[in-house]
Amino acid sequence: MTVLFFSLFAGIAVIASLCMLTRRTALGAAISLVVCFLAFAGLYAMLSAPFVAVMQVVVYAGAIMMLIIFVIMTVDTEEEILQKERGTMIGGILATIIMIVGICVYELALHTAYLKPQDASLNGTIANIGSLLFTRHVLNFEMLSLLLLVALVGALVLTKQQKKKTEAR
Amino acid sequence: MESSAYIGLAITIFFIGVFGMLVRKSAFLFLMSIELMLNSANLAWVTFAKVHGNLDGHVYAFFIMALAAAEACVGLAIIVLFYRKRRSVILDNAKEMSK
Repeated sequence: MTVLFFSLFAGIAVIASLCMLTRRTALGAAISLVVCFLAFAGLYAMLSAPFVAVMQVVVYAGAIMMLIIFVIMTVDTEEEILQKERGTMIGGILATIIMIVGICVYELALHTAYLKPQDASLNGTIANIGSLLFTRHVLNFEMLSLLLLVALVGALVLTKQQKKKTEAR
Repeated sequence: MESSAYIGLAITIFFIGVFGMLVRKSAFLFLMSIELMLNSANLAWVTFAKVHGNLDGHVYAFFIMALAAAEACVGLAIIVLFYRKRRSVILDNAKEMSK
């Protein structure tokens, strides 16, 4: 049963991410990416990480992709011309496949010492993660809030200055 | 399901993201490929948390999600700036630094 669900979610994730690369418009790519993120949420749920799965749906598929689609709709009007050079494409595809196969073989077939059998007692509920977040990782958590504030102010400043400049012209 | 399958999937998705970053010309696709790569890193964190029976991996996956939100915020601001200046989101149009 787990094998069935894993192959379902993994297949959806790989196909959707390949779809993202071949869409001509940015909007179609964004929709494919949302599908891919939802498949990832299923994989997290299978790895007994319900909190991460919910955050994946809420933060990634919800907030971040909503933001990206919103900006695409305000900005993007042109269709990207997909690369016509055959050599670059074939070289890129070959290099990607070689990297995937090579690293998979290196890590998963030759260096299996760190891949012990899975620990079934693990349960990533919100209570367990919350207590860990506010004891051991509390400094990281506070720095993360600072980072989000800086990103917010940075985005605001970046877009505002430009507006003033264009008005002055 | 064996954990090596999850790691293999994470590696595959990561390199699909790298490939997208290299071949696509649109700034949005660039940003979305980075999101894909961050996601595959998250999958590796959660898989190793399961392997070692340690919840720290879940906490770091949560941190990476917040980081991706901040990165998307600033990246989209830069794309909007770029569009205002060049009337385009194709990265090949950014050949000169000042214009």
